[in-house]
Amino acid sequence: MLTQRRSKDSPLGRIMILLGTIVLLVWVGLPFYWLVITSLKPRTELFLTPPTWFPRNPEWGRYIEIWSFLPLARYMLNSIIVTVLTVLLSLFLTSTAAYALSRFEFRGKTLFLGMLLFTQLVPGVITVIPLYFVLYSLGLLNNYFGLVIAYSTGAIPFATLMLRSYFKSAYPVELEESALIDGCTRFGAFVRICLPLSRPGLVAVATMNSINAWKEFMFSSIIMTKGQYRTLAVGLRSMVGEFGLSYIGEFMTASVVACLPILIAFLFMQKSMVEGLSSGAVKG
Amino acid sequence: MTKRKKGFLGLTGRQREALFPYIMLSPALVAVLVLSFYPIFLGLRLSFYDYTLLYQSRPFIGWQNYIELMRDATFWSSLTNTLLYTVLNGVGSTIIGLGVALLLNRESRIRGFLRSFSLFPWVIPSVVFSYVWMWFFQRDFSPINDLLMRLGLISEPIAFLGNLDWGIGPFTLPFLSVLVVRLWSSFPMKAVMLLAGLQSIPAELYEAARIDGATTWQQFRHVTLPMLVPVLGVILTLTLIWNFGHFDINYLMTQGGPRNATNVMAVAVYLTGFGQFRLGYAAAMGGIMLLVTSLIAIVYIQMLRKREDL
Repeated sequence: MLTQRRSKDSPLGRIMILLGTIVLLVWVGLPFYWLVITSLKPRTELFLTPPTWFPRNPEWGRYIEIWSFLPLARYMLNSIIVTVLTVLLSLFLTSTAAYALSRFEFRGKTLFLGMLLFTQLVPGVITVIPLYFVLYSLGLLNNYFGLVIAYSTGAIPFATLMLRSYFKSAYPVELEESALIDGCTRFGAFVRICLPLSRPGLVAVATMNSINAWKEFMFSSIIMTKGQYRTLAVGLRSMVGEFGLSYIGEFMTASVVACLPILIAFLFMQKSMVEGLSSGAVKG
Repeated sequence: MTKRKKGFLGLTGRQREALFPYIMLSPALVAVLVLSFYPIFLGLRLSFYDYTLLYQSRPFIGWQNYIELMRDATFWSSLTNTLLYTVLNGVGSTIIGLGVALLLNRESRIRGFLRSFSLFPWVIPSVVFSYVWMWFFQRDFSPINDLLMRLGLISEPIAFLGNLDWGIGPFTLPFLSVLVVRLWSSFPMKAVMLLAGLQSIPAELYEAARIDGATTWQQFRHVTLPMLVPVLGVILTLTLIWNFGHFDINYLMTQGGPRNATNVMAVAVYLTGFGQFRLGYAAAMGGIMLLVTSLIAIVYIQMLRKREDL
């Protein structure tokens, strides 16, 4: 691990670093700042030109009213159900496949890896129209499971390739071999040795998949069309679809509520996620 | 621990051993076949039919959809825009990501905070930040217009997403405004991947360069960049693919408008399919996208093969 020492920087270098940091903070931070203050501005203050940079009369009550203004609790519940199920199903699908790919040589392995790479590269919008028909014929439109299997399948390529390289390097394979000699089955070695010892990698995959499921919009907008099945992203969007930007204050309040759970989860998990992500992603 | 030596389908231990990887692979394989490959095949088939949801008759029309596409000005402008966004955002977000990664690779008190903070745009839903940026780009109530006017850069507020008066060719104000948001949302991933690449460069290389009297710039140019080339290759290819199919921001902010200035293929497919219900025609657009994707995919897989144990 390398970090360059600060003491070596020239004055010019220091100024550039400082400038870069400020630009980064403002560029990333301003939209978030505006999201939060708009969520607090009362109607009379929202539509002012020039706008106020600090809300004069923050309306904290909106964070309570918003729950009755739109079915936010319902959307949130839908998103939680879909996210949790997606994480579980995709962990099952990807860890089993990754184990097979990391431990065995078998016919068709290269073909399967090629298939994974190919599906990783196909834009979602190409599959979404025919997938609509497939889910329709399976009776899985406006059904949690329909969206969950779509998300889990979408997660397979990247997560499998990442876990594959993780399983290869997480611990010495001899551990499994001695367990096999002691009479453990192959599957037993996978469940009792591989999975527990690869926990950081699995956490990374789970975090990434949960963030992706929480924020996804396109598939959800087509699979979950009925009001009571809408996920947060689609529910929020429908609010702007119906009213335009005239309810922007309420929209921003609901948005902050929608972002909080995933931001908190991210802050807890980010260290392991970033490490796992980079090791898998950089290796391809 | 289970100790059954025989039993499962009456197979011997050796046979079970040989079957095991296939059994482990089968759930993922079934999912990929049914929910990725079969839909791709269905979509290709659909592209040869005049399939409109509102009409009962859905005849096979051969290449007619593709022929019509070739004459469709909207299709061509969406293809041009897609390619421009792909290159500009792909390269742009990688350069920004590299800058941010270099910044994050330095020791500083706020490094941990900065690292999580720069990933925020990736974490939050596109629905949320697209509308925040839409608010920024309005003519009225916008903090961006307010700032620009206070700085004396403009005298009248600008409708960034509606004004087609300035600009050369496809590079209109709405096009560039949406590009800004695309850059904002896509640099974090690149920064994370490049940061991992930076941290895998052995410290001795920098030591040696310093002993030889290399300046910071020379170290960057002759140590950092060459060492990052493999990672940059993977990132650039992935970003080309991701950008080529990008949907969310262009759809949410402008729905491809005004007058197709920000229209990209993914939005065109979605609007044709689920807005006008011309599913056959939309599938043909998807067919063209698939063709381009496959070309990039071949290059990508070849590249990985050279580098790795595929």
